[in-house]
Amino acid sequence: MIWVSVTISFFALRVVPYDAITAQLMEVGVSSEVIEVRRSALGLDLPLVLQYLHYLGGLVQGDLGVSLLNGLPVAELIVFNVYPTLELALSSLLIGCVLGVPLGMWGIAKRWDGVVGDRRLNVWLPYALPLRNFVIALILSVPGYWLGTILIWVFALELDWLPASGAGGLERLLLPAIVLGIGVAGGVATMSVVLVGDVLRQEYVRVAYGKGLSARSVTSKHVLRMILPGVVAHLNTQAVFLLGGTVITESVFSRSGLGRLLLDAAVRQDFPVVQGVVVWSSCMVLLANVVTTVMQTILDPRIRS
Amino acid sequence: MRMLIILFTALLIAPALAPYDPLMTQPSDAFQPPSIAHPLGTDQFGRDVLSRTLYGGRTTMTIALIAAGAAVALGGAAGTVMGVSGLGFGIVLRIVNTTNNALTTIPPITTAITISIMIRDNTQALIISAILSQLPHIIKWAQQVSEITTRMPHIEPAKALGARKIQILAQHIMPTLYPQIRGKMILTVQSTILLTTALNILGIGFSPEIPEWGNLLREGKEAYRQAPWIAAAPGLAITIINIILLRYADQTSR
Amino acid sequence: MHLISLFRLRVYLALLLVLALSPVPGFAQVERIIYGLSFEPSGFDPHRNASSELGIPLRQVYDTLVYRDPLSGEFVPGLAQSWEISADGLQYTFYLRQGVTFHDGTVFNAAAVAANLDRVTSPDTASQKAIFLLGSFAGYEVIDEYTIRVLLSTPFSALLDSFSQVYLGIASPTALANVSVDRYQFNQVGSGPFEFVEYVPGDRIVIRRFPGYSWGPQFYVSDSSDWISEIEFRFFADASSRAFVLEAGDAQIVGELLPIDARALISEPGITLEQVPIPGQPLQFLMNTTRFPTGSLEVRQALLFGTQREAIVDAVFQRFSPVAWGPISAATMFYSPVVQGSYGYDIDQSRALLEQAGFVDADANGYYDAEGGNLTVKVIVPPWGLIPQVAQLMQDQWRSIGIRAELESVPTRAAVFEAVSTGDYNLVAWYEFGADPVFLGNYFASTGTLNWTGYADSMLDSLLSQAASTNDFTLRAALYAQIQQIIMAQALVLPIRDYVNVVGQDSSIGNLTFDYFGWFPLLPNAAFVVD
Repeated sequence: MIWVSVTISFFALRVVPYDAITAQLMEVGVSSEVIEVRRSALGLDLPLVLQYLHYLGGLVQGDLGVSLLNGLPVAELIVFNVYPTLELALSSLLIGCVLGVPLGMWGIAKRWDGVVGDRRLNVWLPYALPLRNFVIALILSVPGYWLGTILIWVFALELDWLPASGAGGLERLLLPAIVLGIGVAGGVATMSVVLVGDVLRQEYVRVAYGKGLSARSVTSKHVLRMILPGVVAHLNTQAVFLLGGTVITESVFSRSGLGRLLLDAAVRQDFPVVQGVVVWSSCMVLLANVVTTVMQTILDPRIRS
Repeated sequence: MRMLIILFTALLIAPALAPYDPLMTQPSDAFQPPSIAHPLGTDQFGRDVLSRTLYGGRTTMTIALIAAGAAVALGGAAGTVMGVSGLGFGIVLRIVNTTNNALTTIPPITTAITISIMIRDNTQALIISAILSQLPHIIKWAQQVSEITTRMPHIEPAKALGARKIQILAQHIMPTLYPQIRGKMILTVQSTILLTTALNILGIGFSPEIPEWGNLLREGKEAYRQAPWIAAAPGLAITIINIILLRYADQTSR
Repeated sequence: MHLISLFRLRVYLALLLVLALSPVPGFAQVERIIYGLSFEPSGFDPHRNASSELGIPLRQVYDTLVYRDPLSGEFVPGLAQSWEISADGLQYTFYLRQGVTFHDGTVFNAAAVAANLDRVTSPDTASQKAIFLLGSFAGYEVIDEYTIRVLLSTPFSALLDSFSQVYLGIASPTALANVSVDRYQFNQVGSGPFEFVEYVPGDRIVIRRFPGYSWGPQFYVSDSSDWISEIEFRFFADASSRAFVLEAGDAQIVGELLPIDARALISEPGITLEQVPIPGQPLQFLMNTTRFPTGSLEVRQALLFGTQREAIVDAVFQRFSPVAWGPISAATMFYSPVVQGSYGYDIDQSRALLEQAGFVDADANGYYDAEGGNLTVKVIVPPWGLIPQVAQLMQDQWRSIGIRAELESVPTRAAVFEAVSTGDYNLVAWYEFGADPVFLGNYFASTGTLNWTGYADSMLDSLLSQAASTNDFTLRAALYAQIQQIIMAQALVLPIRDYVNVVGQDSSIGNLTFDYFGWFPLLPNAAFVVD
């Protein structure tokens, strides 16, 4: 899998006519002969296939190559930048679940209570679901970068509660994690709605209600447990988009991280670094698959037994 | 569908309603708050934000429709073939399938950033990167959906009766798939809007003079202090359009 | 010469006045301050990397053989107490200061300079800038413990200027020998007023005051009890975030504020703005003389007359930058005021020139006609330095002179090279910085590697090469004056504004001044303002 994405990105990136070192030296006004000497020192004059084999050879030993501009190993650059990105991704995942699952389950319990005959709730019933659907649609529709600038404006500039930018510390993490987390929550909520619908059709839930258990306890005990594996599976499919979301969120909040590394390297045409970030995200997505399988085994009694 | 057509048509002809030339600068009118003359205010160069938002909608929507259409057509076709055949067409399909699965581990925005920096022509770069970056995910989706369809109860009898694959595809699978593809198309339009405007926000999309929602958002962000209204218009516009699209996608998938 | 120092003097006096008048609010004094850089350079090794951003921290870590006086631009002693240039301009003898030690205790001497020259010129270092600053470097001779002679193969009049730049800062030979070329950026040791503490890619670079420092150039303040003891540099790549950062107190000094933010911050209590002119090329558009229609002198002149630079400076740069009139900015060595005011905004003149060149508007659509439609110029617009905004205003302004501008925005520096290499452009925005205008040779000599105007004139060639090889100051001034005049007479560039870096700082920090190159702060002089 990783080999395929490495191969495609390797050749795609080298279609570009100028590499980082050429662009840098042209800027200083250096003659093309000198540039050629420098390129060959970096092995950039070799046939592409040969460069590719070198790269693969390094890759199996965990070597992602070196930056064309500062000579640092790409793996090291990734290690330097990985923490703020992981921190952002994981905390937004958490926020996404904490917001998304209850949102998806919102209104379900009330429907049952309504059937049972609580008048007060019957008044609310016609509005609960449409309102929930609208909230879900809204958070799925707001562009994260716009929400980000609004939050910066309100919380950092007008209210002066939280810092506007940078990485490090909980207070700098909060706003970007909320922005990204809200995006995650939209998907989680949509998925939960579907899953809850399936669960409620199951016989034993009706039985539980029939036994006179309160709607709240049915919801938390049975429904929540039944939908969790599905939610986890959904998060797995979203892992790749979450990683993409960190690129934009990091930019909006001027956070350091792999998104910044990728953007800087792409603009400077420092291909080994771009390639390294691509390999990293592929690895993370595959890792997410593994984690998901493990979690589902734990969460889903049917698989466990 | 009618509602969507109305929406798209409205966005495409909206520029006709624009009170000003979206490119005309009038530095003496810079950063005017919303007023009767400029219902949504003006930007740093005194350009009318309403006019720029209306023109921006056309640009953004045109790009989104072209890119999403191409991506869903290509991805839908490829994915369906792979799904229906059950990868039974031999080694070639299997290679395509593995490659595609590998590509779905790369975030679309990463692919899009890389591609748009490789292609010099802005509009082309934006469209191509929006197509290519989403294609693997669409192929994978179509493959899964069509694979499920082939296992549906009304397909089995047809197989048992010895109908040819093409026949099954045309008579049984396509009609079942059609509404799903239509729903996917709408969702892809939405994700393309988000993707292309994000690229413009990062400053690697369109020529900045082209009124486009992402560009407007970026300009708005730079002038937040002086003129918060600049970013408000395109941000709200994107949100509203997305809500409509989602609602519609919801209906078609039901 | 006098003009430059006068201009700078005025700027500094004005800044001092601002400082003196601005109320000092009771900011808590922090020993460690945060200095916001505009982006993270691609590497932090001064001998290897080329970014001007790296010099902001590293100027404080390294001493150079010579310094330029921040006001007059004259060379003053640094690690070299004095120097001699041979009559043929091929030998530079530096008499080094004694009693200097690097931060690691290594003694500074001729061998240390030699080790640095070896490193800069070594292929392993793969220097992206420093080696090219040495011009026709042909080796060196260590004469004695404190004397070294640098040899050139052809005269290169910018050599002293090069030795005053941080890229040729002198590093401890022990430190250079101890780590590999690639790791040196994490273990830097100089002899400057601050010592290097750490560099964490993606996050920060930290420097700390070096207690024993006593060999600084004359313009370094020798002692102050309110010195800033530690400085952490962070990266704020998103320009619009920098003002937020300053206001929120997340940084005490931030460079390259957006002009509209600077305009808003000007009235903010507790924040002081410094406007630092940067010598070098102004924001300019190079005009391609080898392609229709800018091949015609009249068209190039018409574009100059038809661009209302004052309006651009007002709207885009919020009047923080002066209008530029020639190929080098007013803060640059050998700037000639002769070009000042040339091609002032004049639509009638502009249209007259176009009609003189034979253009007519037969279809009366407001644009002059050309083969295949309207008279169109293609402009290559890179994304940095607010060039896109400038280009948008120019495009709108040129409507009134009947020229349609087609803007091609390119995402990266490499994309500019690619676009230029096709030859399919009329104007391209590009500029570089530097105190000595020797860089003009790259742009306007017929064989120049960045000759994007395509202009070739043997007279200009010989002026440029003469100016780059003589050490006669008066002669150079005269040559560069003539060069600037020719460039503008031929209308090879469309200059817009002289580059001014607007730096915002917390008012609790006083005496923040900058060196002659403009980018680099003289942080040893900065101190907390005492109530």
